[in-house]
Amino acid sequence: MPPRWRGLLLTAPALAVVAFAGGALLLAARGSIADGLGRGWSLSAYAGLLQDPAFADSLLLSLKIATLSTVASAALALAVVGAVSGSRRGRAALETAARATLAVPHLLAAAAFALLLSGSGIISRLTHAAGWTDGPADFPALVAGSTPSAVLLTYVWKEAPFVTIMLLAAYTPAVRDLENAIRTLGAGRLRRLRHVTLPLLAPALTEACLLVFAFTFAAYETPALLGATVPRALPVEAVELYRSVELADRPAALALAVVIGMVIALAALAAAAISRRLLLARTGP
Amino acid sequence: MRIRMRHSGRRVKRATVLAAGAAVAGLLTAACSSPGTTGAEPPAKDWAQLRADAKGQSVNLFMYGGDKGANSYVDDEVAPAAKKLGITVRRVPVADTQDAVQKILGDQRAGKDSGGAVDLVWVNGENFRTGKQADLWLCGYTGLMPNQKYLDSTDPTLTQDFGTPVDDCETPWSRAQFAFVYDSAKLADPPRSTAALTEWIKQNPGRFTYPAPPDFTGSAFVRQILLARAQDEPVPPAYSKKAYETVAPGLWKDLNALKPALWRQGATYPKDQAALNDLFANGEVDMTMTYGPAEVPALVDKGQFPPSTRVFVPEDGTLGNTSYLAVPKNAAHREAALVLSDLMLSPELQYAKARPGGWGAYTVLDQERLPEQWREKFASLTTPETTLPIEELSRNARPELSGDWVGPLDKGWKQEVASAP
Repeated sequence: MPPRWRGLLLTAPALAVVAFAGGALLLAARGSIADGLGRGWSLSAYAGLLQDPAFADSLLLSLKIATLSTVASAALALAVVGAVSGSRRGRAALETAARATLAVPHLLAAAAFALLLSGSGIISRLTHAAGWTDGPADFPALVAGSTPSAVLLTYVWKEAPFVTIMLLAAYTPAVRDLENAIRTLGAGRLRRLRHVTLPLLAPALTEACLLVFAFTFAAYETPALLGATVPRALPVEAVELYRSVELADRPAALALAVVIGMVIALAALAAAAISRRLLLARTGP
Repeated sequence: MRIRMRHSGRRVKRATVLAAGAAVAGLLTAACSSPGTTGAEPPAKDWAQLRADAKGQSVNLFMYGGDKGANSYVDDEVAPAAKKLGITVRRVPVADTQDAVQKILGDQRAGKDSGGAVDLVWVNGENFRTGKQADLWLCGYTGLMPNQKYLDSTDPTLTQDFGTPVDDCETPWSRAQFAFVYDSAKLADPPRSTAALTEWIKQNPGRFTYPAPPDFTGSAFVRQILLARAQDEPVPPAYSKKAYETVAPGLWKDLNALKPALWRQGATYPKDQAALNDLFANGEVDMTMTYGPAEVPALVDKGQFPPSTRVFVPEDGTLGNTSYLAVPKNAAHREAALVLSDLMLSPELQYAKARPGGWGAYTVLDQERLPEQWREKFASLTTPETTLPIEELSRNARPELSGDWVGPLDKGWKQEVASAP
């Protein structure tokens, strides 16, 4: 068997999964421009979204959640990786800690943060016992509040370790050698970060950020558990509509799924463009 | 699905296609279940034949999974009784009955008219109506059931399900009455009427809230307020856009007037009844509500609610409904599902269902029609002090509005109340 075919054969399972996901998205797109039974052609689901003020609120909320979680996770991960970069022991400890967090499912993490942060949660009970708050109503509304604080905390707690692991993988001995070299030339911490560490870690960081953005934008369980009644994150809205027994809600739910897919596609395009520029900057045209 | 195989000389492509095909086939068959009826023609209308065919089948009973009393009743009482008839009961919990209806609708859209995974659904209201409109239910068999003789066939709460004629498409199973739950240690004298309740809410800011519709209980609370505020001009039970536009604005105005006095100033609502129960159990609010007040003693026994928990209904009455068991037309085990629906209607199982210490849910059987021994047994049932007997709960009971009201009211609430500044 020629090597090219063997390569294709080996990637076949992965390709099949991608084809399956692509097929599902196409089916969703078809369903979004049909009636509730999947027949005919109509753009009314999209027109309905544009007229619905709740849609704009949901889209903004989801963008806010995804952007803030991505930026915060990336900053946190960069900071800890930079902090332990010098010590081999610290690096090993960080890697173990990050792995342990990765193993916790998002649903479990969200439930744990609900128990911790809700009005009658553990922290609220502690502040009450310490005399800082007068009871549940006095505790700040972190869960289901007007700012999605608990959602963001859960995401940062889950995604910062993920970005950390991606960065640690890219943080090879070669990077450390270069850092040491520039240090002998008299560069301070910030300069090293700006001229060596960041440029060399940037490709891995971009990939990690794209994955975090795509996940936090499209995930259902955390905003469903920790979000407010209104506005609701797009995926929560989509699932709610899809579960409705009203036939007319089905195209609207699928239209939301298509919007979610398109936002992620845009983010992926942007990430691809950034990656290309980073590569050009390093290797020249 | 069409797969182009013209260039089949390329082995790799074929392998990919085969792998994908196998995955698709696996997913499609995974949903089907083994032995059962094939073919779309309805079973014979002969009860002895149905009972014989039902032997050895297992019934996938889809039911709302959030009611622990109902779950253990089905597992501990119904399943062993069904076993004696050779029927295995597989309880499939769903977060909301609409998920089961969606599943059947999905099958129907896919043209799957036999071998469906859903054999029996605990259903009523808008879910039954949606299924009936889409012609999902197996109708015309309830008349054959031996235990139907204990039902009052003229009782409108059994012939109409949220205003939709039952038409032999579902078997009555249980009754429920909307009620409020409070802690008598904190609140000695609960409000006596709906008007007094809204007054109490306003005077005790932050101590009351309701689940956000479309949650079943939250949605019922909104209808409860709608019916209570319309004393002078009753809400027409049948839905029409005109009727909606007449009554809805006033309802939203009243609910928005409550908003500043609600938990978290109405900026957010608990997402379902379980979340509201947690708020009540944690002392964040002073009341919770339920469409199944029979579940309260069990929650007290479990320690979730304090022993001083009590149930009250406003004197102007609350919503009541009957819930049913319906068999989808495409069910894989229709015969066993029908026999099981009849079994669940039997005096034995209806008594076990009503018994305090069990689920405690109210019977649909007509006491007048029962044999003497069963009438006495039902009459001897006592109600724990943590809930109320059905006679008190259902005083001035209001029949549910037509199922067509539910969707527009839930959507309207989200737009006009939840999103209001």
